[in-house]
Amino acid sequence: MVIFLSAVLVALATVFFYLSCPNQQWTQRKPLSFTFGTSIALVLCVGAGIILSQQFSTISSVFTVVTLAMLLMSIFPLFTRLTTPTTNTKKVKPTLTRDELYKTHRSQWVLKTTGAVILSFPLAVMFMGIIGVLLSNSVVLDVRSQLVMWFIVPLWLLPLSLIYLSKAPLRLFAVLGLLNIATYFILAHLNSGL
Amino acid sequence: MRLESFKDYQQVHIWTGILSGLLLYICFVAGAFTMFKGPLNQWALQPEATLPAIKYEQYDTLIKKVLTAHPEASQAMTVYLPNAMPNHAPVQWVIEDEATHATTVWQASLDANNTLISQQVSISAIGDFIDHLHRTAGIPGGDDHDAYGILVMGFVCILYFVAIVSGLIIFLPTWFKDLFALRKSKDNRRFWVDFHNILGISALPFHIVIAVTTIVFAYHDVLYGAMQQLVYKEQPMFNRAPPTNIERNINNLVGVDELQQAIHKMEPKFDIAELRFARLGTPRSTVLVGGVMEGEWVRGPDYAFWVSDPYTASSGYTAMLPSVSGSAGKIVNGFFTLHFGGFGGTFIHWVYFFLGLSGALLFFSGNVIWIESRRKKINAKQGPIEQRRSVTILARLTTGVSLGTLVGLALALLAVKWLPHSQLDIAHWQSASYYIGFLLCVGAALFQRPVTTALQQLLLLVLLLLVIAAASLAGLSASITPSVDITVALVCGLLSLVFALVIQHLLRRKATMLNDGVWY
Repeated sequence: MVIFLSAVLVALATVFFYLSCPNQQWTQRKPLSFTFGTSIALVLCVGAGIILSQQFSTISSVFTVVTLAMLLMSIFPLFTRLTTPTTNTKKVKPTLTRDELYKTHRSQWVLKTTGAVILSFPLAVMFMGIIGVLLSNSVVLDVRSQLVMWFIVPLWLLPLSLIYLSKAPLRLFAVLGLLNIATYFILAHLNSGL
Repeated sequence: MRLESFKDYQQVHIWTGILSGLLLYICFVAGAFTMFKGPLNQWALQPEATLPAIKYEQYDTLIKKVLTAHPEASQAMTVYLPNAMPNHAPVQWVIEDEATHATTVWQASLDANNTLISQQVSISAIGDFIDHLHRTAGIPGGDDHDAYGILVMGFVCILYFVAIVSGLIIFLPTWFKDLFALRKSKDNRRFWVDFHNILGISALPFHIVIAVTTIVFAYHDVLYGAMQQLVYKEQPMFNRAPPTNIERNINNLVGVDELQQAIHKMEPKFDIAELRFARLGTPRSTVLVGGVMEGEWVRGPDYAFWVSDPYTASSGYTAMLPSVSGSAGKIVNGFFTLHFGGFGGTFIHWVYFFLGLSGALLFFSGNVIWIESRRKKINAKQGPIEQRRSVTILARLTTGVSLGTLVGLALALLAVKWLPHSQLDIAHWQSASYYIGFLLCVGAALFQRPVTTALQQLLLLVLLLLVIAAASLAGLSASITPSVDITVALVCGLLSLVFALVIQHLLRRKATMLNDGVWY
């Protein structure tokens, strides 16, 4: 019953949020302003979370609401009444810029990929090692090691994912290299102090 | 954003996506059904292979009798308490031949006179098979822990992570125009891109979590190795409990009730469901206690876990318990529970089931966009045109793999429902039927027009699903878990309805489809 009620509230929140979105395809005119619709949606979600927390722990309630909202936001926009959104997007300026550099741009796939993979991995490991040292002593050893291990992956892959934005990868690699050296010495210092 | 970066990221997204898409599709479909691993295992159990259930109080006797009669079970033995799986045998252990890695499954229970019944069984565990498929994408080879498929999927998920970030980056410049829009104009590609964007953007956090956790599941040994080398050197990374000087014989094992009381002191809501004993009789003997805690931040897909000493019920390793884990432990448990969907009981399992299917559709639509952007437009003057081979092959492969996975799964489910488990090696036959279904579908798809493949295989799928639903309802009167049978029938019925609608849609579309050698 509790779950059902909060699911209904989340569904309502999703409807309000969708209707306030610029590209909604349910009505000719957008019925709600974005701020208003989103605020109502937030209030409903918080309400759903509070109701749910009678049965679930707080953290589970929060994530249950978020997960359900993700699912419903993947489903609701698929059921459209209009074939295209009615928003006037002509005023929106394109955010892509093009200058002189465009002509001379080279993608440098191999350089960027290998450089990012190789340089950001030890950096991620050593950086998390430092975090591990700084964690309070009350954290059980096994938990500390697992925590350190888990965050290596996102820290390693974020630079890899973002490297292709770089105009001057070599300069960036120099910075990453220096960061590696710096973390190495910080870690060595922290370890020797133990 | 600069245009050249945007174009670079389009390339990154296209290639990481196309390399990982189909494998991820298989894993997501199988993963969606893995949410119901336990119920599916139960659904497949056949009465002939099922041992009688016993009362809660009889478990201690049974455990001791099993260990006395079958000392080999002390290496690893699982006890299913009444609230775990209602019709599963109370005790089960697996013996692995060290040379061939062939396994035999044994089960035990007590009869009405409290005498031990134990037998080697052939049970299907279709849920476990689907889970294996989910972890390996069906790529054969390797042991269970480091199957080649897992290592491949780890790499695929690195691509997947890069694909997620690059997808977000190329979405950003036009986000105001595109967010949640689904334009059904004449341009098919626009529709598919919008569809892909809705699924991807709405479930973005889910996809990030799945990508990161899968990489860790696949490569944690490598990561721990790197940590040891770069950070910890000689220092230990894990605590090994010091051996205690107690006599470890069968009579000193603590009872189930004692374990329940010990855990209740730390975690009052914990409801013991499963005990996994390991290395009994040795100084490193442990019992992994799994318990139901609905709506809590638990470690496993269904259970919260606690590791204890089976001879003392000491507090052991408690970091996996929601109330005892502390904030660092909660973060670690969070990665697991967010991958497994364990934090909200059955309700979240259903939400994850649909998120899994939506993920599968995301990858499917990604491939469709790739094909649609590369197909050459038919021109009245030029007459027939030659499409690029990569486009035709990928169109065929996408159709074959996406339907083949479903047909294979349906065949495997049907096999475990119909074949007599006691007379043949059902574990072998369930995987054989999956691979037969999958490979035949993919093979057939490569040699005919995708639209023909789709219509044939969708029809086959609808029929298979209806048969599964019927088979599931047929055994209802004798079933111990009728709710599971009814749910399976309902889901199969609904899915067949959806696929029937797709068939109807395709038949209508076929009339106006361009005969340009891609889909038709």
